[in-house]
Amino acid sequence: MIKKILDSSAAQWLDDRTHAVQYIRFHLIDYPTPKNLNYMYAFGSIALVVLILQVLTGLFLAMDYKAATLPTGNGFSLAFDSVERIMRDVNSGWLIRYMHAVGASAFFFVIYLHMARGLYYGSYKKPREFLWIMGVMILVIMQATVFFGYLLPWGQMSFWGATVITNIFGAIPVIGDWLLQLVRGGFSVGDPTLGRFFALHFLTPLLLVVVVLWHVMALHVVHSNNPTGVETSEKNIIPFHPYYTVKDLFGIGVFLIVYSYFVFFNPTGNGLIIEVNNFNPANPMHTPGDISPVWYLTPWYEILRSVPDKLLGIIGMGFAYVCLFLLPWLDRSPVRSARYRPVYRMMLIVFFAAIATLGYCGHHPVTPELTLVGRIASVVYFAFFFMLPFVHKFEKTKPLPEDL
Amino acid sequence: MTDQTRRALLYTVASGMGAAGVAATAVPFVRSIQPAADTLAAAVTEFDVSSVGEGMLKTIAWRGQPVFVLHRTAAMLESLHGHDELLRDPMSRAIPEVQADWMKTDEQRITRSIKPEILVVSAVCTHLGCVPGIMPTPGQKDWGEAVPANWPGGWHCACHGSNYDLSGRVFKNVPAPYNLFLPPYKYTNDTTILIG
Repeated sequence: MIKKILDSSAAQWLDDRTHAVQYIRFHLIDYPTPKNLNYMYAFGSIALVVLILQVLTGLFLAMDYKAATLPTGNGFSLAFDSVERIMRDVNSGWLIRYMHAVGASAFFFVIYLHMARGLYYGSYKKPREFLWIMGVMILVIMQATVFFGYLLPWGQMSFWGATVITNIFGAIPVIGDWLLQLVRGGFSVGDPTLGRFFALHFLTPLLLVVVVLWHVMALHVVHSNNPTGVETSEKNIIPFHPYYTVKDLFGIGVFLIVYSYFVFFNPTGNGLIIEVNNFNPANPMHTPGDISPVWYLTPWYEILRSVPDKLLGIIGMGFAYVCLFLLPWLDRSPVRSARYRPVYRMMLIVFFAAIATLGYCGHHPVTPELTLVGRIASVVYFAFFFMLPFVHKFEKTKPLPEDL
Repeated sequence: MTDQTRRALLYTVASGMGAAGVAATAVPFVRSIQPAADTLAAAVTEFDVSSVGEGMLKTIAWRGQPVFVLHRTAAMLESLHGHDELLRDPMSRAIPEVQADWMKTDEQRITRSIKPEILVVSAVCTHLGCVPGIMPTPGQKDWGEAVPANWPGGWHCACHGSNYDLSGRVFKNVPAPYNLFLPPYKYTNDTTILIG
């Protein structure tokens, strides 16, 4: 049927004027792919589905959300009440909000697996360096988006999370105080902050869509890597459609089942997806006992917390991102896939464990033990990047296959 | 079954299920932009009709739209008779919105109110939704050419020139198709009405 539509005279008419059919053929049908891509390669398509869901649910939420801290009594505010109105009065509002909240966590879950796949099979190496950099850009934009979005319900975690994170700007020497007021639009997080964060929560997804499209188009220039990491000969190339459209759709189906479980049966994810304290309205006079960011931000937050110096902690966290950006040039081994790199493979497993440990520590209140564990994990995180430029000198790689 | 027809069947079933899934996902989104529970709850308005003096008109809000409450004088009630040939639907029978279940007698179909002197009628012109202006006195003396020479008194909609008499019954040869709608209302005591 797809063939019939694309061959129709109407499609031809459109193609003569816009190249629309050629784009579809190039990106979705004829796109040449190695035949051995496993299910780890489905997360790109899954992420695209989550992005569409987030844009769609966000659009409908914005129709009923009100970005104002105007008090409505008992410590409640217009913003907080409008979210509760979405939950109680708007038809299916609860569903759309939970889809959006669970979607945010799902987005990071999928993107982290997508990145882990890229790390494991060496997909960041030449000629895909910029593809990786665009991916890290997408991660940074996502984290900005989720940070802006988390303020909107104007609950306790919204308020205190935004207070803590905006204070990071205040730590910058000389211009810090000025910058802090510029970001907040006042002396503290308040109504002006909420207004601009709502606007920015609309802007950054727009950027995200643009960079994601660029990311996909760039992928289709350099083509997909594969689990072996070796260049593939013509005979092992298959078209994207129907082979990977079907495979990705199956992956999307499995993802949607897990996603639906959380949306319908555990939308707060036991406090991981929506933190318990955010069901309390924002109170600028009282900080909750435990304020930790949502799980997908905790590894970075823990690096910040591990350094016993305000400015150095922030520099450390920034440096964690810089390392990710520099990765394609830090790794100098000519072999891509970790399948044939025993040392890199071990390092990578330890690196993933370090990130998980950082995430765990960042999610729990500070204790001397956890601080120590967090510091060790931070050191391991950076050690991974510092060792990378030297590994190829002593690593005995396994023999690579001639072809797939 | 050949392999090809099996494939075609699988293809049809799989894409059919996919399409059904997408359609089902659209349902909550469409539902969410329909009126919310609090909007529907605000659709009831209470009003004390004794606050409208004889010959006076008050415009009150019901569901965010204006409703006329007109306390008609004996002369106004008299003006409702004798111009049926000018009206499009003198007995209010065209559609359910211009009628009410308490409309039993012909007289009630002319006065279009539970108590003859208190008219409660939607202030939204049935043409394109403007609020008509009241021109209660007969003839062109007070209103000029805006109303016809045999004007019995009523409402004139300045937007597109529709005319209604003092029961909100629409004139012939104007753009508005129907009489002014009757909102559902009842008396909860002698002077209080509950609209909605």
